[in-house]
Amino acid sequence: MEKEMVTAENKENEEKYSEQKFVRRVIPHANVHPSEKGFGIEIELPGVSIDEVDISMTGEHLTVSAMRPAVEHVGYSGPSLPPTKYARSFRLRATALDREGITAKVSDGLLKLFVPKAPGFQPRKITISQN
Amino acid sequence: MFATRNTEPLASFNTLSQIINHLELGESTDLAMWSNSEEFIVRAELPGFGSDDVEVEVEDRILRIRAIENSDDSESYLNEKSTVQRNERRVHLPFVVNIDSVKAKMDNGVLEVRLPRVESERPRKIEVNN
Repeated sequence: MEKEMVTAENKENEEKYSEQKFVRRVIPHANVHPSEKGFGIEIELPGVSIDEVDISMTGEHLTVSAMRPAVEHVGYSGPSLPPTKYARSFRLRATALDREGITAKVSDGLLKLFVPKAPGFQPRKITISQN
Repeated sequence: MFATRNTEPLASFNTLSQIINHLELGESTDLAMWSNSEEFIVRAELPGFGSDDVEVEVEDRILRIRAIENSDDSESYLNEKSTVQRNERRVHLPFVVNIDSVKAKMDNGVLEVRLPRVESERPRKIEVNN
């Protein structure tokens, strides 16, 4: 009786694990450059199309994630590149940055974000009055 | 029938050019290659580059991939940009290719080059007679 229970469980595990595909997790390269009006963030997502990019904000954290499908060439000898998940988070200090004004653009596997500075933090000249 | 030896570290490589390619690239995935008896495929990751920004050249048994980058000297807080974009990548081809039939295309920052082997050099079956 116990032996039957054990074999039934093994079979269930076998089915479950054979369906799971290995997904490679990668932290994509990022390039952050400041400007007077805010910060530009470039994230490298090679092989990823715009439909597969997800950008979300939770509190002060901006998270970018994207899935790149597997790359295989059947009938050729060479690597089988697994499906790849790119994910990276950035903390944006709420007071200095205008989180509502973030813009994003994807082209040629490169995501470009722009995070503008909050109005009070933009550079401005202060006039000196004479007395 | 054919004895197999388990102690051959270079057993997975068929040609010297494959060994050279492997040593130069290590385990990085930004440049990957596939081959069979008829064709060689090269896949290079060049995020941010489109078909107009990339030059692909074949000379003899070397494939050259050049990405033309607009130099951006502005200040960066973080610059992890892949260095592959600043250099020329060279790939040693395992066989002579038919240059006129080489095809290259770019999609989402990934370049794929297909190089068909010269017809006369493709492997041919030899009949075994009694």
